[in-house]
Amino acid sequence: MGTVVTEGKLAMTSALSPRDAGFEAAFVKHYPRVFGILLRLVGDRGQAEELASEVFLKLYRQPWLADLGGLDAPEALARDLSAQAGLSGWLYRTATHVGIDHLRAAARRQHYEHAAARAGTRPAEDGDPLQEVLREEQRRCVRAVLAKLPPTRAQILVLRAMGLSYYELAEILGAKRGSVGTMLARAEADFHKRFLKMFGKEKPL
Amino acid sequence: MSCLTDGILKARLDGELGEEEAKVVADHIAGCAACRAREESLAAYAGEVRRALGALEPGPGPSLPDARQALARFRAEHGAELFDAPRRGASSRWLAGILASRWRPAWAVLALLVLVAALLIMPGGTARSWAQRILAMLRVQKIAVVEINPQWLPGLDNDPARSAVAQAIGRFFSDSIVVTINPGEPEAAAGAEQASQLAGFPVRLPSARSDVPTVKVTGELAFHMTVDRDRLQALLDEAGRGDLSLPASLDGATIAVHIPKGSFAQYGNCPHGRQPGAATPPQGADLSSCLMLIEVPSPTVSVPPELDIAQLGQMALQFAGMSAQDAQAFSQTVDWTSTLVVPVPVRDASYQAVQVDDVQGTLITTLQRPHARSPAYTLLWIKNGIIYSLTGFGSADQAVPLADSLQ
Repeated sequence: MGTVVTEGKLAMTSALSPRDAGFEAAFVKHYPRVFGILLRLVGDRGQAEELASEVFLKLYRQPWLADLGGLDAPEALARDLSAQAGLSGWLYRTATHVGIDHLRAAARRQHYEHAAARAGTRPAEDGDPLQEVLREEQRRCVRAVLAKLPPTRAQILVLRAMGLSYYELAEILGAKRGSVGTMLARAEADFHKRFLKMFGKEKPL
Repeated sequence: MSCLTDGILKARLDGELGEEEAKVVADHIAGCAACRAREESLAAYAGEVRRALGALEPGPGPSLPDARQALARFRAEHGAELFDAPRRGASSRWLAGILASRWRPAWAVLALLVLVAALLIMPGGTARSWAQRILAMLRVQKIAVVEINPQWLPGLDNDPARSAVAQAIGRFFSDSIVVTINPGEPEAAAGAEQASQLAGFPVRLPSARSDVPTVKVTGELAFHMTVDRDRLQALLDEAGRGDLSLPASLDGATIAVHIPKGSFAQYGNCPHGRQPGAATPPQGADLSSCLMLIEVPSPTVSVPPELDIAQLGQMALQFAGMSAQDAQAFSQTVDWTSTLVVPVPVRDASYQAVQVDDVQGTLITTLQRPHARSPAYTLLWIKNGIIYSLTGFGSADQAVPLADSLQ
């Protein structure tokens, strides 16, 4: 049948070019992490999903995506590793950019405070509304600082917070493993400095 | 040894130094107050950042979304602009297009497609004089709902065998379909009156809504395809459905489909506002005001008279996941020449018959909405030869009153 019903959604089966097949494989592989980055940055699931789609739309429009098609082909295996690392780096970098752009745009619209307060609201784990308000305020501050950082620094901080090892970070960032420590140290110092500047010491951290 | 870099100190704090290196570094730090102090301040920053970023950890809510579901959603939303590009001819572009921009909003699409696909998948052959062979004419007069369990269908999952089948089926269609009237871009209409003029039938809008809709008239579309029975059977075999044996009479059959101009009206804040010029609703926006109404005169599907439609319909249902017994029972009760068969995935939606617009309609309600960006209901009915599909994001209780207010 030409029609496929998946989870209540309709999709048309279609002949996938190697490029499309490569795209779909990349989508399935990297979606969770792209989504994770965006969820941390924007706080709202629906919004994170939408932005994740945006990231993959951008990916689809990359001319070099064609080179990733047909990753199963034997001759592609050799360049597979570096291509994949380049791909994941590009995706996570783009996700960070897209998330930060969103934060900045939201701040410009001056809806940020309100939107963030609403977006981040979750049931108070310990049932203490005051604690929850404080936590929300903290999340708001953290996001504001991330939005001010150079995107590469925000990216490495978010990825590290998601539990990536130095090895993985080096792959993704296209850096030597030996430089990851330096990059992280700089990013953390920068975060500290900006947080201090923007919110002073008294903020709950 | 000169003093250590921040990078080394940081890696040491994170336990990312090799054993050998860690030892050398530890020796140095033991004897260097400057490095110890530096390490302490790095540790302080690190602790601060850890707490700060830790606050952004997702709460205990639902776990991460399933990547394949996300892909299915992605394709549903962007399929037309993306996956058509490298392919042959206008045919597959249209097939992708019907899914996405123009028709995206609706279950009606699903309905139409199923009708079309159920017929298309059936065989055909050499189309020399296809026009003369077409005798039987199908025209949609009523709607029937069938429950399907779509687990089986070759979809977007990564099972290579299945996706190979899906690809082969896609290729089959793009090879076989000839588009004779290309719908082109939808035309914007200022209101019901202009839409009626453009579409050539009276377009109605719900008077229960006082806000101004975006109205578009979609172009006329016609295509035909001639089926190669053996190739199709081979596909079925490959799909593990060799039990479905296509009748020989299908070979060489040409099926022609004609979909007249239709109207598409959209109200309120809709999540799929990706049509050019439409703004995406802001984060957390309330979508309950979103309402999408499609009106299209019955498409016609022409098939050769020797084709046993009931038999083919039954096969299509089996292919869609119905048991042979159920499919046969359903197939015998439905007049395939006049019924739009709408498959409803049982896990995801429920349906009920309702009285609407002075006729009987079908209200399909989404059981569990994966997120607020999925529609809550779709109401389908047919009146005076026009198929109506009303999809809303608000409460399903509004469906019938809204539909009854059409004028």
